[in-house]
Amino acid sequence: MKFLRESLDKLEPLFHKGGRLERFYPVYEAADTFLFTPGSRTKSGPHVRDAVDLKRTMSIVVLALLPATLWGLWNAGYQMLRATQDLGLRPADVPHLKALWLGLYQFFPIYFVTIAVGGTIEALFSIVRKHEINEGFLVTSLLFPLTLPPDIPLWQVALGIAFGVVIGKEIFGGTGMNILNPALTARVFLYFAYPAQISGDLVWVAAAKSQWVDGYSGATPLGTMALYGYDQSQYLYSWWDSFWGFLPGSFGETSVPAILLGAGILIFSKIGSWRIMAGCLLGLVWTCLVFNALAPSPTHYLAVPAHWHLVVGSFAFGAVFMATDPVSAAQTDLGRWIYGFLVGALTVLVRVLNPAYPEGVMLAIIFMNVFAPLIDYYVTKANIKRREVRLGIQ
Amino acid sequence: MSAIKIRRGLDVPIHGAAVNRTPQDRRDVRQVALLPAQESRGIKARVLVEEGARVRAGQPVLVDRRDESVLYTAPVSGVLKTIQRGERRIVQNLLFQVEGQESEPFQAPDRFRASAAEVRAGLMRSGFWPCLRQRPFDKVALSTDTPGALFVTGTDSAPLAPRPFDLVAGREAGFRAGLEVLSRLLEPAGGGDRGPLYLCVPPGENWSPFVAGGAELRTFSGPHPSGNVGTHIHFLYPVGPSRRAWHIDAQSVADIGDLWLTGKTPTDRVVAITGPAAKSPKLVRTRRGASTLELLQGEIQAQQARVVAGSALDGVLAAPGSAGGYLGRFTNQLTLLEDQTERELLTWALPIAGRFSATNLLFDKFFRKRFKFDTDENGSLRALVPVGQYESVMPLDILPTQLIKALASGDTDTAIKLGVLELSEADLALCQFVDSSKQPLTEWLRNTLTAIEKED
Repeated sequence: MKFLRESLDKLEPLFHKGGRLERFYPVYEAADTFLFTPGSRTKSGPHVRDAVDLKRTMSIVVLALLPATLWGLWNAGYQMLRATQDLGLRPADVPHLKALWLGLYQFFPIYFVTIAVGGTIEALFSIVRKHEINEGFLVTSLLFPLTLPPDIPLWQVALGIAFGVVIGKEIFGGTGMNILNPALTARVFLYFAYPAQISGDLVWVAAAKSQWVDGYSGATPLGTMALYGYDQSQYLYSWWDSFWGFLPGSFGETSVPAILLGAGILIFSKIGSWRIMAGCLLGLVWTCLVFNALAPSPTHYLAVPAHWHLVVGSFAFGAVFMATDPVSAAQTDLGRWIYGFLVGALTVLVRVLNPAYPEGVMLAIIFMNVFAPLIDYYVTKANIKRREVRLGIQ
Repeated sequence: MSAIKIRRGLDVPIHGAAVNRTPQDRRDVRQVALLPAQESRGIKARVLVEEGARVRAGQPVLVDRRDESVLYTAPVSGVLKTIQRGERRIVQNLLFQVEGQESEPFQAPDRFRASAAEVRAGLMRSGFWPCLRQRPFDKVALSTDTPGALFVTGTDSAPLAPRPFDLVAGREAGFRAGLEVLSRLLEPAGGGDRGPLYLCVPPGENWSPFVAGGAELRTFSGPHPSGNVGTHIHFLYPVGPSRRAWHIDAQSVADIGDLWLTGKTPTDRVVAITGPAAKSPKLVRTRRGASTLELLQGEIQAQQARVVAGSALDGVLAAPGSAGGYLGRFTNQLTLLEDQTERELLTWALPIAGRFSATNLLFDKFFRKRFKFDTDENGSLRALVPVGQYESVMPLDILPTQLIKALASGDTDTAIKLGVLELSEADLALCQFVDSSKQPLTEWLRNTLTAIEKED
């Protein structure tokens, strides 16, 4: 330990002003503060500080994502076994380790490409801009692969994350300054650039084409709903299957319990905004109730009740991990409620009323990312007005 | 009497509160100082006595050329040893060696019958006028000004702060006389309605023997910053570009009253010596402006300690032996903190680190009540990531994230609209405490306030 510290201290002058590796200071700083606490002391102001820092914050978000990730690995393997070997394979009969291994085999290349491409871009921007490498990418780099289907080509992964990091974040000035959620920007880019592979019409199951099983129906629950509405006789998956996540889909999105576990971690640690999550839920339930009341027939898509909307597609994942991104969401407490509510409402709106897109969460969140500053603007304006009234200016 | 309950905020669980309620006598301090630069921001000082001159307690030694009728007087009887100047010859401190017990005779104008102008003039002569501070800007009150309201702070919720009730215990008569004097300051020069005089106190203390001069008692309860004067002003008389309030601490009120009653300049100050690096945290009665070098002899239990005049959140450096190493005019406590930080391996990944966090990212707080805080920033400088941490400690109707962004970009217009004029460093200190980005928020606040003052 001491040796490590001493070697780092020995290297440090190289990265300082005038040192040979001056330009790479952000890289040194990232490694140095990753290994050791920065040790910087307060100069004035509050002489003591809370123990929270961005490293800790971001690593807890990664921790919160782990249950969904592990489930995603297992489920990717399970779906692959199911599609290639035995359509009737029940979750309980799956060789779990084999499923995990198969899932990891699919997931790891995607994750690795994300880290390699995104991380390099991140480091390059830090070096050119002379600011420190931000821990936010830890989260982005895990969020993004989790929104991808297991069969995505790796070049699309690379292109997507590059677009997300550059357009979603760096052109605005990096972590803390971005308007859009970078992981979501990357995902949306792929969605519109390569709709055939990623829109969800095709089966999201990892399997080589040669192994394709005849008669395996590949529609996702949302695709089924778009076709048959609330005609449950046509559904391939039960509500409980959808709840637990025994269905094909992107890595992270399928299991509601795993995502709820993550939500619990985020809310308990006070890092994720419970207001946004609750707002999303309220918005979705409210819109569903209105739609249910308007439904012309009990099997119409409008009649699909809220408890189905909650468990299919990636609503849970989006509401817990994507919409709560503190930087791209609304930043006032009241604004967070409004923002969340609209995300939930828009999700149902896009799913049910828009024939082009079976899934609406991603679009709802990115749309509300754009509108979050406007919500904050009006909340702020109300605050200013209250102050003026108090002071007797108005 | 009405109570105002604060819900949002944070009591920083720091180790080392003073144990005794009655102060120990530490008036043996021989060196005391006046700190004009620190107490009156931007002072243009003209020193009235020369180095080596003998002075009596209460004898004028300095005026601020921006407001010449306000006199700064010697805190003790003794010899003016040195005048220490800093950058651009700003007077940092006037250092006195205590000798004798002479006091400048003070002819107190009758606090009931004299005209308001005479009472004002008396206070300006007394040397206690600079104890009055004004919001906006948190600076010494202008002698030509009449405030809309005057706040006496009888509560202090800052970490480890002593109870003002203990600091003025036994001085009821003086305190009442002080309030009577202060109430006269609220009379507008041209006649008309007098603004309110508030005495803000915590719940559960019997302040009624202290009330006089038409002062209204207001109770503030809840976590820090329920005892900050900025909070009191926000709830009772919010200030802005066109409204000003003044405030003063409890001990100074009793000092003013005693001066009026006895004609002798009070020279004592009760302070609490607190903090994790204090050997035995306690309340002591010492001299106003006492040297921390002398006062803290044998009180520090750390190899390298930081001495802060004030609380760990909003105090200023008072390193023993340095130019600022004396009790300030408003100091109620000294906080001693360990100032030697070590670089620990991979702590960010551990759920337990022996440190406190307002978030639940660290589990230490679930099985520990008090923490030995040191001066470690606990992180490196990063971009602001607003996860709602500021809102959770901001009880005022102010949008902290938006305000902080305005401060960061130096946008004075927006900052004024968002209420920057209501704040001082103490009111934003908690936001900076809980911030994960470790950005200098209170420094931005002061820069913005200074910029606004210059624009006017």
